[in-house]
Amino acid sequence: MVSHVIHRDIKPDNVMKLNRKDRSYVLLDLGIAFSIVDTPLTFNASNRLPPGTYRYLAPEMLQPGFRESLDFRSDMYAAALTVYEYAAGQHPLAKSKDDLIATLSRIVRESPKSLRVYRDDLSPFLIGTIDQMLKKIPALRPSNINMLIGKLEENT
Amino acid sequence: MKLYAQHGYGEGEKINQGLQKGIISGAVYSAKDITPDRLNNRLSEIAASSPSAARIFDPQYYVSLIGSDPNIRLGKLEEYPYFSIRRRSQLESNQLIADEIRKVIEFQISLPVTAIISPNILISRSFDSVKAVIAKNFIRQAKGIYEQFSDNRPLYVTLAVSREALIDFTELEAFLNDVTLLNSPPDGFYLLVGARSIEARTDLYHADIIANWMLLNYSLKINGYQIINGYSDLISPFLGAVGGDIGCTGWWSNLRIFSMDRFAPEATGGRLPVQRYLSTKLLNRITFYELGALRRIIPNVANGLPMDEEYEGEPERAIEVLQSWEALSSLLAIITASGDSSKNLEKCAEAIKSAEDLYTSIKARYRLDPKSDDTHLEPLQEGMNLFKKRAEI
Repeated sequence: MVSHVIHRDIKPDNVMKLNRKDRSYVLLDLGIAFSIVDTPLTFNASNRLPPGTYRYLAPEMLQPGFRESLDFRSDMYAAALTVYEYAAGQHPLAKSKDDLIATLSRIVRESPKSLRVYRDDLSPFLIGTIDQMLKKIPALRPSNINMLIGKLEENT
Repeated sequence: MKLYAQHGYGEGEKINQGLQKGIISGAVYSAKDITPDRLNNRLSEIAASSPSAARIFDPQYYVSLIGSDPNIRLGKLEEYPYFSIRRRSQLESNQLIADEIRKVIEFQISLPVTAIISPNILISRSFDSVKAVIAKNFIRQAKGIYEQFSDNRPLYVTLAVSREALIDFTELEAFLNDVTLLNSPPDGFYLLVGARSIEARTDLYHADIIANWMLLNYSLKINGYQIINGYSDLISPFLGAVGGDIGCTGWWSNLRIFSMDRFAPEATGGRLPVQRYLSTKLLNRITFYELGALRRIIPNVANGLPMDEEYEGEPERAIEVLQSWEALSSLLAIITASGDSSKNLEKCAEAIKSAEDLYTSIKARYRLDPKSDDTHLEPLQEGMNLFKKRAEI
């Protein structure tokens, strides 16, 4: 089933850990989430970027025609970025000395280093999945969530 | 990656022998070259003699849009109950598409096939076209219609693309983003990449075509689909390296390259081509007499497989296809053994490098026929590099 809601601001600050076995983490702040079928997309009036935290924007959100084809795979990218940053202790593309344009340019053009570079102790399957979810082309990210969860449970 | 026979005119005992020898794992039957009754019988015979073999039927619905051409050769296709000649504007109706899918699936349900192939048209010029929209509708509706039949065999949807459409990476990317996000996904795709003619080998041996064909396989596999690559012949190992499950090839040149040329009038008066030998070391076919000459000076050109014995002199014609299947199966097993795309691509690179070295040795001592030369290696290498860049591998 394809989801029609995109969060658009998945990042470490919006993930909270709970002390519950059945629900270890919760995603916060749906302030700019929208339904693909109902709500029109808006731009941030100050810099003409789509709303969200720019370090976590998926590459396709920076393309001119992104409003025609945006889907939940942008959230998958941001979720993978969040897990990567948590595991590696650093953002794979944004550098502290970068200005906005430099970071956005990296998001569009540069491939992140594999998570393996920082965490070779993690399961190769988990590393491969995170790396795959960070691909620039949405069609190269696994879109079948049930299959993904099944494989992660099987391999980690 | 497994290999299936791509069926066509003049089957004889080829498929039976290929299955018995274990060098093919199944067959894709072509509507044009077999009557509906005979098809049913052949599939039943294979089911009885080789129960584990995959039995697939290509409905060749993509011919519908060119069916009104006065020179078209439809063969037995006209005898199939689902086949009608259509105009593009008719297929702009979603209802007609649904009806066409239903008819094609209904025909196959009663056949002893191991998977069902849903129909589609050929995207002939561009992924940004009316035909591409129609093709996407065929893809989107197939699973929902199939579910109404309560059948549990896997459903593959045909995706037929011309090289003119496939060559544009930007349009391919947008198309892929759409077809990997379906509400009712099929189990897999029956992928066809069409050349302008079966003689135009360079149409497909082109870096962008190889890269984008690999990208299609890679993307569909990541999204959980099974992929049968029709008419993929010697490009199969490169597709299998990045996720393709099945490659297919047949016995005539028009069963080794997909082209709508198959349905054009045949040129008359031609001689039968010289029998060739598929060298896994050269990633190409050479004539049997070239093999004979080279074996004496560069023995490494032979595969070292059982069918080599049949090439001591001029082989029988029926042997040629069995040798081809044996060699290709062996190559597929070597290249796709690891199940990991990066490692498989390393194997592909090694195979190209070995072939280059071998050609260098040959050139110093022997002059090959132009069809046997090394012009395929550069597009394979460049295509693989381009794919790796686009897929960020």
